[in-house]
Amino acid sequence: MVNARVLIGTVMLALTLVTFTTAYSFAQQSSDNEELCFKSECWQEEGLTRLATAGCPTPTLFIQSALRELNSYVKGAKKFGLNPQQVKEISKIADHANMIVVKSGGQLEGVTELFVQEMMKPLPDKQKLKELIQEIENSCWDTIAVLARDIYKARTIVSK
Amino acid sequence: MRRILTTTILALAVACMISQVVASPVPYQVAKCLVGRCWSKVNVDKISEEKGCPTPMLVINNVLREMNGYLAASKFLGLSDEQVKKLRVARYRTRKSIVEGKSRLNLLSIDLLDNMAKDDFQLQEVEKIISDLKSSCSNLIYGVVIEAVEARKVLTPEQRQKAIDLAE
Repeated sequence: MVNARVLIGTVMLALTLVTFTTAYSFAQQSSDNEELCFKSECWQEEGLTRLATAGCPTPTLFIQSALRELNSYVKGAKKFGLNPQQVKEISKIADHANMIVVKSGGQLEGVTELFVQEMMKPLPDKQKLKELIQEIENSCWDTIAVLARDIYKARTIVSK
Repeated sequence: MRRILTTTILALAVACMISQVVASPVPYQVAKCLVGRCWSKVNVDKISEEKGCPTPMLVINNVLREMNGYLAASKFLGLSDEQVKKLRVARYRTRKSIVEGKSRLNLLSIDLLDNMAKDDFQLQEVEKIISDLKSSCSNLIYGVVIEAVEARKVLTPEQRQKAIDLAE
């Protein structure tokens, strides 16, 4: 009787383990596949709902898709049939894009802090506010422009 | 014994609530944004992390809360009818420019994303949209911020100080 119980227990445990391992490997596989995208595929998910919620075209919407596209070419080089030279050139562009995003993020924090400080004054200086807003927007949108150019270059390379 | 304890706790709770209402003449929600106080709650570290940029929404929300705050606390601040009228006009103007500005930004965003979702997008066209987005964003944020600065000027220095004390 005891032996039968042990046997059933072992079988159940083995089944659970197999189920878990299979589910985990499927999840891994699908998440890997989800991450990769090619050219226009990387930009299909951005819905109007998300835009409306953000209230403004936040650079994040653009940055996320741009980095996803560039990183996809590097990660999925084999899948997309890229040769070593193409991968090398794309990697350089992806590194540049990632660096620009980090750099502008730090710059934005600094300028935003100054803007917040000015807004907290009882009577802020209008000219200073104008300059700070200009600086913030330049930093934001110039980053987006750089990323757009990087994407353009990368697509030209993968299309060769 | 239990009844006495319950009654005492209830009485204390009621007393606390009454004292709070008496102590603060204006609800905290109304007071917290007066004279730019809500800017002290902005987490700058999170801005680039989550949104990539101080979005107009952040500015719009803070400015509208501030304007609503002056109107809601007008009696406490001792604003005259003339001051209230000026603030109402400013709020109306701000709301209109927000709706107009946001619509333009959303339209430009659709253009931008639509272009990026083409395999062979035209770089020049995308650069033009990005440039339009930059100027539209700047104009919206600056316009709204200036309305907030002007609203503060409607108040006398004494009223401004009273509003700061109330918010803090």
